Amino acid sequence: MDQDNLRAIATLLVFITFISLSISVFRKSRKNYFEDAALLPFADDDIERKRKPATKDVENHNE
Amino acid sequence: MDSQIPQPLYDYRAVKMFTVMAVVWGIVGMSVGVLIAAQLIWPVLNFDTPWLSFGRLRPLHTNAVIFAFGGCALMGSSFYVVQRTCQARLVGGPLIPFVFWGWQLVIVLAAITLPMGYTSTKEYAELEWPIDILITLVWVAYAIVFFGTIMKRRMSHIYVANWFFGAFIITVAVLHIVNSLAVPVSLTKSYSIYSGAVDAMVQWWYGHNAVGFYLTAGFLGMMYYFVPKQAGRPVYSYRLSIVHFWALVSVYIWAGPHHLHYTALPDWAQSLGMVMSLILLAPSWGGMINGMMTLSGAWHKLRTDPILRFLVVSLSFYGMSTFEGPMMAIKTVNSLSHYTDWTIGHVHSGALGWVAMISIGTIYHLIPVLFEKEKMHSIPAINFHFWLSTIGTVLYIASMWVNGIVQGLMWRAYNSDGSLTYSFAESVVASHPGYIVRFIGGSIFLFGMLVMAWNVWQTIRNGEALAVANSPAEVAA
Repeated sequence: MDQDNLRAIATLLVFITFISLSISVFRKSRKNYFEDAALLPFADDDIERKRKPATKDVENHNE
Repeated sequence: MDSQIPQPLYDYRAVKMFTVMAVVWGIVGMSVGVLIAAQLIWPVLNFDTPWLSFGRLRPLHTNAVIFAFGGCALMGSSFYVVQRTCQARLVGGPLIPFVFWGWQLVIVLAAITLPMGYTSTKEYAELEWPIDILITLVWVAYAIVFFGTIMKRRMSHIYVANWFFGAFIITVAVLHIVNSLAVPVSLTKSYSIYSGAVDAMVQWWYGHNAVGFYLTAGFLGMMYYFVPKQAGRPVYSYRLSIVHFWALVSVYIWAGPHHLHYTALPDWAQSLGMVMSLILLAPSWGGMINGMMTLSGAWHKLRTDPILRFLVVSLSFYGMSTFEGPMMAIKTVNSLSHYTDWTIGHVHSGALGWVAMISIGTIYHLIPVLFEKEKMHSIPAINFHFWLSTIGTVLYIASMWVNGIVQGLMWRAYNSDGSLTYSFAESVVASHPGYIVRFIGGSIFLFGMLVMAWNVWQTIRNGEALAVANSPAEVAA
């Protein structure tokens, strides 16, 4: 295959990959899934709060 | 009460040791840095002793701050974050102390062999082959512990910080092994299996991805956990963080050739490196904005929380140096900046501003949690440290900008008959004031590290203990 075609195809493939990644991540149906994932650093706070009452509450950007 | 909740028992022993050693090695590495900065002002400071000469101490400085200070901060925080976000105890049993003690042995061996002059001459990979093998063993153990813990997680999703830590661990393993391949001729001497332009390309493929995956991806893993945690709110956009991850790791790997502009490297490879470096601005700034915007609606917390200030200002330095980097990768800019102090300034805006300051913020967050204290011994001391770090970094990078541009302009100045206007020595004389300012900036930054060491020591020794005496982690340990 001509080298320039190969370059064009490679560029196109990377472009398509990036667009499909963005679409799959920003799909509306996955909103809740990712919002839950974002809370993972705070998942064990519930347990800690029982031991340490002063722990501050987690705020949410989407409220 | 705790027995009613099925709580995972975290293993913080290695995290504690790594975190404390990060403080110790930070001071050691930066002291060597200040010494060699002073040597450039007062050459007499090498005392005519080979093992105190600049050429031997400079790799000691870079290895100490990157692999000893940065490495301990990364290994400690990754062991902490992976447990907390997977709600699983560290896997690996004896491998965990092996990772810690093996890594300390690597550091000590580096501190002995580099001043003695044993070097493979590859920048940021100077250590000779027996140490390289030890690094590989420790790194594989590190990977087993980290990924083994991820496999034991209680939820299906792997939190994004662990993706960044994981990419850092895998890529650094590949980079280290490929770049360090060598033919040993004795216990202390080896020759790279690559030669010529290929050797240069492999070296800077390694070198730049050490920046991309060690000094960036690893510390972004830190950022994605500790910024939300310290701010008390989830990351601004979790979805952006996923696009950020894939874009960053797939673009970074191509940027190495920008270290070899106008060399024997083929022209197309140089252009590829330049274009990929320019594209890199997008994912870098995506990540920076994601971290910063985590504070949207909570900016007031910066007024009262110097730890959060460390984390957020580190992101501003990250944004600054990831703008400067692509700009310097442009060939025409590079023809002015390359081989000058501008490069040194750029590296330190990343190393002091981003890597060190996010690590410092992380350490201040971790110490009270790990040692069961209410908070750090002195919050005003953290605030003081914050200003020392910021002022030190700004003095350092501003003086190196001035020096770099002066050097670049002097080196390229021609007379009408085609001869050079300035001798090299004249550019060294012109750099002298900048070297003094850099030495002052570096000393201020180092002084901040000493303030932190005192604060950490006081917290561990005398800090007010938490109301509940024993955490499950302590009982298990």
